[in-house]
Amino acid sequence: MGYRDSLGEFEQLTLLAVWRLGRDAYGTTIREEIEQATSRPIAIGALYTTLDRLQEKGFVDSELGEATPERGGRAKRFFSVTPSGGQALRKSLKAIRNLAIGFLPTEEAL
Amino acid sequence: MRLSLKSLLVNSVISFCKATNLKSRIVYRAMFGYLDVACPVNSALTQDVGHRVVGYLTAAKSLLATMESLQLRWKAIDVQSFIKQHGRASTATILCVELGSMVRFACSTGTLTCKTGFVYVEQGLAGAIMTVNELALSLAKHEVRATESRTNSLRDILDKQNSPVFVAEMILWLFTRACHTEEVLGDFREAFEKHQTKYGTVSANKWCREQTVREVWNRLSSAARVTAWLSGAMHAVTKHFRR
Repeated sequence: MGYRDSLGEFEQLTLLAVWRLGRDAYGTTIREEIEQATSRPIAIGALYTTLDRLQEKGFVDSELGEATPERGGRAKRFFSVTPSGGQALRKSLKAIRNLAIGFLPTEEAL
Repeated sequence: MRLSLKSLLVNSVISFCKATNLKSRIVYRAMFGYLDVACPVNSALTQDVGHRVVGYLTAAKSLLATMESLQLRWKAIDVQSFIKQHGRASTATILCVELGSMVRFACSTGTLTCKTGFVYVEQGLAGAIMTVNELALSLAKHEVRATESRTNSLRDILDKQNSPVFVAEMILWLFTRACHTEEVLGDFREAFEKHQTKYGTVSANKWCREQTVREVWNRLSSAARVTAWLSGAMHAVTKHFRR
């Protein structure tokens, strides 16, 4: 796995959140999903920087939705995981699972 | 033909310089525009910034049009007919043939990617010229798109000065990267509305303040990280040359 294919911790969380949310994956929902899972507040700017990086790597795709009044007339950008993104995520999680054997009880292992 | 090749080179250098100049204009706008907007939000200065932003945008758009027409002219060069007319295979002709094949390649591929850029470079000087021009063009396009989106965001914020998140949106506008301004502001607004509906105005205002501080801190800390990395790299380079 080269540098461009490797995933950082926040990138893994973001990819997983996008995958879990499916068609409803956009900034607010992705941020809420990560905040709920990690119990730590996320900066919106940091999330978009990560999503941009993932898109550059070809791990996510994005498309612009319609503008909505609750967003002050601004459009949502919807994200989806690409096949290569799914593959990179599986590889990355597998590596963590292999390393975590013995450290976590079996039922807690990824 | 040598002359054409030379003019091709000169044109690409000019277009590159124009693109760089465009960047410095944007930096200027960013520095002075931010200061003007950040301090007296309701004054005439704000209007002035608005006018200036529109001015820069117009300049950037006209530059983009010039560069695109230049690019189209290059793509229309008929190398084969030139060779038929002159019937000689000088170095310039060979380079032109290379250029022609690359132009066809560029036309078939459409948009520029790093990979196609490397292919150009591999194919010789003409390829390198095309690469520089394509890169300058894509840089200019990117900057124009980012500036346009940022200007629209600023206009939207200034139009809603009575909004409860006006100050927070202004701060976010200042500290957010140009490429995601719209998305960040939209998400921020949506999350604020959700908080207000769910927990009430007081809690929403508290969230708004905390989130704004978080965004600013995130931006400042990433800028500090880049600065530290650059100074580390500079230190390593100077240390290497001192040895």
